[in-house]
Amino acid sequence: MVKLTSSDGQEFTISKEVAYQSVLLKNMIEDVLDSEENPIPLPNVSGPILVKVIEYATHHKDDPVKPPVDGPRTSEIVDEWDKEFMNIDQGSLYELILAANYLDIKDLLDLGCKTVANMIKGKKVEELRKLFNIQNDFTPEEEEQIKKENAWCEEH
Amino acid sequence: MADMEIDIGVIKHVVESSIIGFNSIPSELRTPEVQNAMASCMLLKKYINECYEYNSIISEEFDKKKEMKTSASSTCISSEKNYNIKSSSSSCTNIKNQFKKTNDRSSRTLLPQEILLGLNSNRNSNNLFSNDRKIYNNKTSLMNLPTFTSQTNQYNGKKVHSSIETINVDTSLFSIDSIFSRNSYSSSPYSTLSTSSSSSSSVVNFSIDNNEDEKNELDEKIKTIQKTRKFDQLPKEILNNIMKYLPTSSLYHVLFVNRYMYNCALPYLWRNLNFQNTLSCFKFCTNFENNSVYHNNFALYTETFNICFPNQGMNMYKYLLDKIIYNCKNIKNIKVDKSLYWYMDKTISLFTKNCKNIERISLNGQWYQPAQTILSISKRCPKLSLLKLNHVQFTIDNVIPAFSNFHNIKHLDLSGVNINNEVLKVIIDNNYYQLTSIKLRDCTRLTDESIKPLIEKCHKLQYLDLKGCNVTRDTLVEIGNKCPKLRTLCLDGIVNVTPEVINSIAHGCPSLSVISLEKCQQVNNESIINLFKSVGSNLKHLCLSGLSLLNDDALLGLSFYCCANLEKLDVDSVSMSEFAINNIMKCCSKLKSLIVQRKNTYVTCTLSKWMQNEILNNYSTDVEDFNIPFVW
Repeated sequence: MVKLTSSDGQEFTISKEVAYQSVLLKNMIEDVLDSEENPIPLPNVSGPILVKVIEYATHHKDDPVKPPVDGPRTSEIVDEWDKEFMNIDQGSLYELILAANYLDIKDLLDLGCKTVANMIKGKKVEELRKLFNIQNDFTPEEEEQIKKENAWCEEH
Repeated sequence: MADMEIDIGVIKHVVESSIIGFNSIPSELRTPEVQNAMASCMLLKKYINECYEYNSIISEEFDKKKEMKTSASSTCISSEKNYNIKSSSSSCTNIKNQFKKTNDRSSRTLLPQEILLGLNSNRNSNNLFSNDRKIYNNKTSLMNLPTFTSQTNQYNGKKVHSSIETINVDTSLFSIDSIFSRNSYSSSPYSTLSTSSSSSSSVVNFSIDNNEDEKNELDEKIKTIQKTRKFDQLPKEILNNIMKYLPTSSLYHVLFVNRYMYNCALPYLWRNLNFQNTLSCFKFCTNFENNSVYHNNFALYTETFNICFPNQGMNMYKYLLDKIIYNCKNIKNIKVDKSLYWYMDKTISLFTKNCKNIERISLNGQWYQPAQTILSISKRCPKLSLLKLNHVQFTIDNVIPAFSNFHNIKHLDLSGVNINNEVLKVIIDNNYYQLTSIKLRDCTRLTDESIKPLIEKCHKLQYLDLKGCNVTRDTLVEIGNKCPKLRTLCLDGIVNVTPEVINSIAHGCPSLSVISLEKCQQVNNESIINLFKSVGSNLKHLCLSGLSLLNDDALLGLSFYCCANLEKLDVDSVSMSEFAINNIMKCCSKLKSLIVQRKNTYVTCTLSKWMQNEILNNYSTDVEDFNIPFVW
């Protein structure tokens, strides 16, 4: 068993095979012998997000190693459980992605990025700004310039 | 006020002097707050150094785009204010007092990463104006700041800053403020501080007096953004990961969102120039001629170039060719959709001469001297891993030399090419170790003599398409014995596919997800059910068109074993009852395409009109859906 402490001081105990989903934790556990005694601090991951990460790692702990995919990348999420798992608010989604990046859990990072990509897909500029609550910082002249410089794909 | 803009160098200086200031604090007085602040400064220093590196990469590109000015906010910070911060930071006692105070208030230490990412919302009273702060400045705001145009003139020669710095500079301001604000406030560099907040966002106005010269006054607008807005604060590496999943049309819209997103999306938009039709390729090439931005983006980012030029534009293409190819140093993938007949040789030889890293080439149609072109490809592209030649006809007999220099081919598509057994054997001898996909559709000259070594030697094979090849039963049985990794198998129209062959495949290839057995008329119920049992939920795409020996038993077996992921099913001319087909429709929840009768067949469908309509309404019946895509 491995003990983890989140940024807000919550303590979690998980099995080694769950922890091994994270490359960061795997390296830490291999370096530190008595990881069962001393909890590993995770100052970049808050408690609620760590709960989500552990939920993901527990569900996928028995997955076979996926072969690298040649060919085009698609943002399609095949696994139904994953789809449901990612049905969370935007703020948590970004924190989950950051946590996956920090803990080095590639599958979770990819899943998060795919989820965001699916949110972006098929949306026009105004819809995107509204979705992400981003202010336009271009002047009309600059927008015109961008249009001109990328005119070859305008018809999409 | 002429000298109120500073560039990132000044910020760097401030950060560095802050670090010196911190170091002068005796270690026993370093509270957790001080240590965190020090860590923040160290991180900022790292970020600023990264900015310098990043700048040197992009400055060339941005200098040429004079019109594309980046946010003035990135550089616009009062030098007076910095001076004050500096002076306060050097005063040790002030800091001590400040941190004693903050220490009492704070419940928990701040982490440098949290500060940088702006994650520490609602921590203490400071955050009213310390969280998610962004300097806000554009022409519409009520400020007397000079526009960016004059600024670039003034700072000509200095680097124009990209948006990534906007973020970094913002956080630097933010952390410096959050560290020193109390101190600064008490020692009054800010004579007035007014905050106004609304439900969605709060605007903080600073009006800063110059201690030394009271006449000069600076207004600065700082806009704090809603707490939930974090998307464009994700680090660039994560945004890059997201951009990789977006199609061209989405990337185009992302460009216009804001500057940071523009910088993230642009390289990915230009990475793959996959033109949908000849018109857009033509449009690109015409715009390319006199536009240096096009040249730059193309040279910097483009990895895939798909040429499909209309015949009418050929003369112009001839002019453009040199210009395009001169800029193509980074190209990795070349695709020619529409034959350039006379220019094919020249185009390909120029590309292969200029680009050292070509990995994939796909050529379609017929051209003047294909054997020579392929010979030059094989000699100049040692990294080539994908070669796709469709419907190329060699007019000379001996084409072995053209193919004998390929050593790294992983994916090979020679559909409709008139190669013979000797050529294929040479290719296999050189590439059997890494070959994973091979498509030999309608290579009618190929027989057992070359296909047998192909199946026996290439253990990594995942994709095998032998439609229309002359293969005997004994060779086909070997597929099951030698190719355990096979995922896609197409044996359309091969008469020698017997139940024995299917049983062997069922035994040896459990990973199959795409199976096409069109017109393999000897296949019977028993063997195909064995196959279903073996591949189970891997199966996604199945074509059993023209297998007249099959009936309900096969379909019930299919719905029993393979229902989980089946998306495409073609059972044209299989004799089936409504019960069986209804069962499939019920069990296979992911089924999207279902063909029970192809339009041009004379076999009468055994289903009722009502059932046929039901299928038409619920599923795609487009034969095109059943084309098996090659790796690219």
